[in-house]
Amino acid sequence: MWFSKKNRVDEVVKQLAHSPDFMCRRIECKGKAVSVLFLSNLINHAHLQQNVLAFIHEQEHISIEQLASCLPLGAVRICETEQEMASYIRDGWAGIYIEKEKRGLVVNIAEKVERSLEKAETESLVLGPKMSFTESIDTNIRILRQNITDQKLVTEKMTIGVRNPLDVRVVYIEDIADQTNVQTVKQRLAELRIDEVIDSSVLAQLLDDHAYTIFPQYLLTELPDRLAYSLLKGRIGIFVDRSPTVIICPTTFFSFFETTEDIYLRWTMSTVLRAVRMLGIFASIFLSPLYVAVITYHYEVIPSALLLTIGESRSRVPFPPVIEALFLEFMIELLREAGARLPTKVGQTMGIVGGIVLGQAAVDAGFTSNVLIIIVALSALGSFTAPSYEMGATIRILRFPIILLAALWGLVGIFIGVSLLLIHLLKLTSLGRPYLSPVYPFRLADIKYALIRLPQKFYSERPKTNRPQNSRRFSWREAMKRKDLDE
Amino acid sequence: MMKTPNERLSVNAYLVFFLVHTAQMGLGIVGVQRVIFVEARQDAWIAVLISGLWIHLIVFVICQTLKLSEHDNIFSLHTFVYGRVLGWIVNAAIVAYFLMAYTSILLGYVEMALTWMYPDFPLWGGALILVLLTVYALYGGGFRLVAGISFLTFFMTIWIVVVVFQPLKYAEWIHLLPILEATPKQMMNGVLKTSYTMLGFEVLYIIYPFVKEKERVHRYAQLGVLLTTFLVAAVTVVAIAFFSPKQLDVTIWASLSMFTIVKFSFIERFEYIVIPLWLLVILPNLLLFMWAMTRGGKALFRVKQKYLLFVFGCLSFFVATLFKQRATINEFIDQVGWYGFWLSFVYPFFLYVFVRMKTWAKGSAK
Repeated sequence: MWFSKKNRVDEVVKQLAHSPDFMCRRIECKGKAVSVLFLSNLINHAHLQQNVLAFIHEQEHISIEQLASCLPLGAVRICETEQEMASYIRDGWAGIYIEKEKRGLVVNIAEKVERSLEKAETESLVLGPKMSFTESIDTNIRILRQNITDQKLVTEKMTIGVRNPLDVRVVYIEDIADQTNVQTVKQRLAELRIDEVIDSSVLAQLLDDHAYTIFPQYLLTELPDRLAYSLLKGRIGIFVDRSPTVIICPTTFFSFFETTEDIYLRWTMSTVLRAVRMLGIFASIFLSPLYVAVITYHYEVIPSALLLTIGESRSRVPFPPVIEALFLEFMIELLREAGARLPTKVGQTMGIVGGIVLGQAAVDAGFTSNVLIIIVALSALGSFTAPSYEMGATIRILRFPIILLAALWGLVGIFIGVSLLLIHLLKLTSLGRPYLSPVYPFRLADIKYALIRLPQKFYSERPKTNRPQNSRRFSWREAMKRKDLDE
Repeated sequence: MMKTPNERLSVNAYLVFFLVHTAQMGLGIVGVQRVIFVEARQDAWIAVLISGLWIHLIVFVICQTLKLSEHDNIFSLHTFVYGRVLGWIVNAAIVAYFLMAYTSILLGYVEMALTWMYPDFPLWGGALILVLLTVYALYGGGFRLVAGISFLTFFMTIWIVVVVFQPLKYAEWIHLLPILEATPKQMMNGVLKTSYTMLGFEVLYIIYPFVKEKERVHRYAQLGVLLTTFLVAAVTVVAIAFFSPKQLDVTIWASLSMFTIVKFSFIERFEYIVIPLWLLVILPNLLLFMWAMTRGGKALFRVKQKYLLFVFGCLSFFVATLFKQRATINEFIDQVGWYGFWLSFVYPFFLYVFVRMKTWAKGSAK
């Protein structure tokens, strides 16, 4: 019997033998041999010394049960098998075996590497909280709990990945979020059979309803206030360990064009700004195709005064409009991509200089017309107004097939593109919920959430699109009560 | 009997308004003015109104028919009334009518687009694109998508109505006088010629089971028809006032020709925008008729709708390629209008009587 217990330590040692930082510290204590096992790179050494080693030394009588109940540490667990022990040690816990005892003990003295909280980079705001999520799930949950103190907040733990298990938390507010949605999310997560997931954006793709589409179906955000807002409106969030972005679902097409700033600004401003954004995005998709279609097929549409200007600027261009447009669009994409890959400071200079120099040179050399440069620059600007990076990228790519359709069949081609787009968007769902909601299926009450903003007193109900169990926020009647002149 | 679709597939009643209206709106309204004007002269707009009234009556009859028995669509009604064999034949005729209607819209649009904008493009190419568009939409889409498309395209195109008022600057209202000069026969012919433009409401027979609140279908269908009648009458009045009688006699696409004088500071020839935009007007037509066809086909052959989609798509493309000239296409459209007139303007009354008799006979047999 004694022999086999001795082997338990060796068994764990064998499993972790390939890690040079693995330590097995044996100490004699009251005549018993105590082994403390840990990976030295992962743990907090101060903790180990003060709370584990020193504590063991002070004990009068030593056993696993006694240690488990007395150790001055938060997370202490008793392990039955060597595999369990080894996996805890790999997470940065320390394992303890005592001579002649069958079971082992693990204590959490891990020290995880993480960066400090920073300002949000990809979703930058002018107003409102600036903090963004980090790579550590524990910190992220902490931030969320600070944002939402509602007692109905649920953070359910799930693990994904066979080879490299990943901690995933499904968060929602129990009496607001639709239970069917919660079930769907949990079921999809549970049904994932995959060996590893690297990031939340990958998980979002794995959870997609439709793989063959360029439209993102889940919102990824790094802003705690955006997540808090979405949860309180009945959506579900998915935290993924090691990832600074949180998945929000179910998502509609229009939520990709919202920012939290729309809520922080006064309603008149945010309505106008939202309209500007929508218009910009619309222009971004259709301006260059329109140029191609009109110049190639229907120059009759252009008023004569404008036609002169365009004709003059195009007079030196030897290519058909499609080639011209594709060339310029490609150039802009190239600049953007180069700017994204280069270090920040170099990247910006590159972008501006490259844009101006290349653009000007292209016109001088007679490759493109001035008018097209304006159009392409405008549509590039338009695509950057999309608050979601994913949607911005989608819009940039969407332009190309429509340019081709415009080159093939002119304006009719563009409208074929529009029809295809409409049909496609109508077919899409996110978590089984219609993607184009609240426009179709039409919900008038939700238009104030998705397309425009109204004064705060109109937001007495949560958006129906999310199917909240409890849609009432405050009493509409009280908010709308009118007062007499001198009351 | 076909299964009633479940809750998930059905739509709200208000969508019936959009479905009926967009099913009616289509190519007709682009050139209906000349066709009626040739028959009823300056009283053409009265003919439109009469035909509109008639349709209101028919919509009422259709809704009554569908309420009479547990059969809530035309295909199972036919089997119920005529029995297995005869019912099958009548259903096949209905499907054939939808096929023809679909093809006529296809041809009409392609032909219009080619004449105005792309003289060199082959007709079959345009037809192929539209057929592919329909098949892509319905494959994996189904009825909810059709309803969605009619809802969205309605709002994307209805603003054109505002532009129609611009030609009114040049209107000569004297052209409308004297009123009620047309003889009853002329007026009758006028009404008959309006039918092709107003067709489409017969899809009520098929969409009915897909609506959640059955008791409100009738109201919304009537509203849809009302809007169509109003719009067709309005463009007819405007066209009569805008063109001189001799001009209107030879203007095939009167609405489009009126748009040629519409100008914005950034758009010179407005009709060049309208023709491509009209794709969005006919899209719900194409989808609805194709969908109706596949529903009918399912009742006939008991085959899955998605397979029938390809069969009917190929078939209508094949039929479309048979036509080469404008004259034959026009004849074909007139033919469809003629069948449509009998099927949608007259037959519903008979069907109502038959169903009434059958249910009565069945009830007394028990």
